[in-house]
Amino acid sequence: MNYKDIFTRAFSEAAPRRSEADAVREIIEKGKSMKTTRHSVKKIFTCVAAAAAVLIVGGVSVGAATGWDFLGAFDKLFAERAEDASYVSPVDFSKMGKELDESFEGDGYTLNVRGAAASDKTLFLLYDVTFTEEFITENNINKTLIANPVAFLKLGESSSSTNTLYMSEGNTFSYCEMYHCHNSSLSGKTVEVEFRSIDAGNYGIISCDHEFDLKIDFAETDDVHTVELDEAIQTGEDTVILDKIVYDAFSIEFISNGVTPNNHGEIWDTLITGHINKTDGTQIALLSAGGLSDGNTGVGSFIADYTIPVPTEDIASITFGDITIPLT
Amino acid sequence: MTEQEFTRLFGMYRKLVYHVAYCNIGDAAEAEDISQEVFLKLFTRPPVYSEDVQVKSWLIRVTVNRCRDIRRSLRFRLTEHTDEEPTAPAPDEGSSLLDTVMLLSPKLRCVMYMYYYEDCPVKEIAAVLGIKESAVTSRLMRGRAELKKLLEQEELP
Repeated sequence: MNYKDIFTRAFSEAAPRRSEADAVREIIEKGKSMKTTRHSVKKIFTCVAAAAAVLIVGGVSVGAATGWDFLGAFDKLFAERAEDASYVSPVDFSKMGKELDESFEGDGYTLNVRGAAASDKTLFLLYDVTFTEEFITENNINKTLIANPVAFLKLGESSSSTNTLYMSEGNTFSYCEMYHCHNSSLSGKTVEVEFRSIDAGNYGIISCDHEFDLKIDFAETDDVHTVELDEAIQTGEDTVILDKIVYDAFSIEFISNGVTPNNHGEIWDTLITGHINKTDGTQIALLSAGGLSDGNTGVGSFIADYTIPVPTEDIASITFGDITIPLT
Repeated sequence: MTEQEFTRLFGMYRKLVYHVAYCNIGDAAEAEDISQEVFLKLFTRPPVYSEDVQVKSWLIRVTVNRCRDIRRSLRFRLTEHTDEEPTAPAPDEGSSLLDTVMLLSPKLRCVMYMYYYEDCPVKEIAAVLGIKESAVTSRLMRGRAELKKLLEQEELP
């Protein structure tokens, strides 16, 4: 059976009805009438950087606040998901995080670490990079949107991260690195963030080379909730047991038993299609964050971010598939 | 982005975006609306990429994300079909090959479309959809098996 031929023939039947000229005109007119911004947002699951040029090494302490718009940055970060430019988070980031002011000079760029906020499971690290015109010219800067400086969390625990470019203006690109701690907690810990370039490998993207560390202390939080369960989840032909759910204002962690390398992806697909049900009856979708599983023990940890932060007292339950689990 | 550059990209990728939306949503009018939204975003807030292939990946990712949001919306859930076992339409119903392909689940047909129609490598599909390569190959395998079964059902007298 020639599947390529089948899909070629099938989709030759599927085409937009509107004429191309009309469709283009409509978009351009609508686009012009909108209040345009230069911001762009992009979710990146793998970050890259390469090339040995400059090495910066340093351990630094957290600096004082500088008047940079710490809270506004978080609102910008989530405004896209909320589909409302004036979105203001109901979660108080000023209590959960801190404004930072650390700058590092590289060869052709400056990296500014702006602020961080953490719940029990998730850490948001805001930083921006400003490139010089020379660096842009020499390195074909258009590619650097996905070649940001990579930051690694050093907690001695397993973690995963995702990365969002939440704003760009001129030669400055603002990033949010989001870490997710599996089977561990960020509460009351000193987080060591290690900025390192990694090899471009198959991605073939240029960028900066750097190496420096940053320590951030976070106060203990009790705004984390654990629900013990014994819920069977059917994933394809396999059944796994959902042992525990841990949630806070930013994200939710699912801890499962019976996970195999083969059904890891299926479990993730099942959980990520879920949503948080708020006490006011509205729903908050989940975003893919990260999953880790141990092939020997069969224990898997899957963390999903909420599309926008939610105060835990506003969370009523979670639904995925046909299952709804109360979280109160 | 200039109007000229936008028009060029629109002509190049309009069908791709529409097809990805149609694969995910299964509704022609909704797919067309999603395509307009995605290209409006490209025009008003373009990613800063220099190569068309990067814009292509960006467009697929934005389209898939938008479809995911819509599928999660209450409005879509209220009108969504039940998850019954797909069966091929009877020949006298005037079914097309596209109708048969659309009987596959959105997850399967989207991956199969990207692999067989767009010639995207497994690694690229995994990256764009944010899933593991093993999940892509698994979906391809299941998609082939289900499509074969559906096409065989159609051929039955």
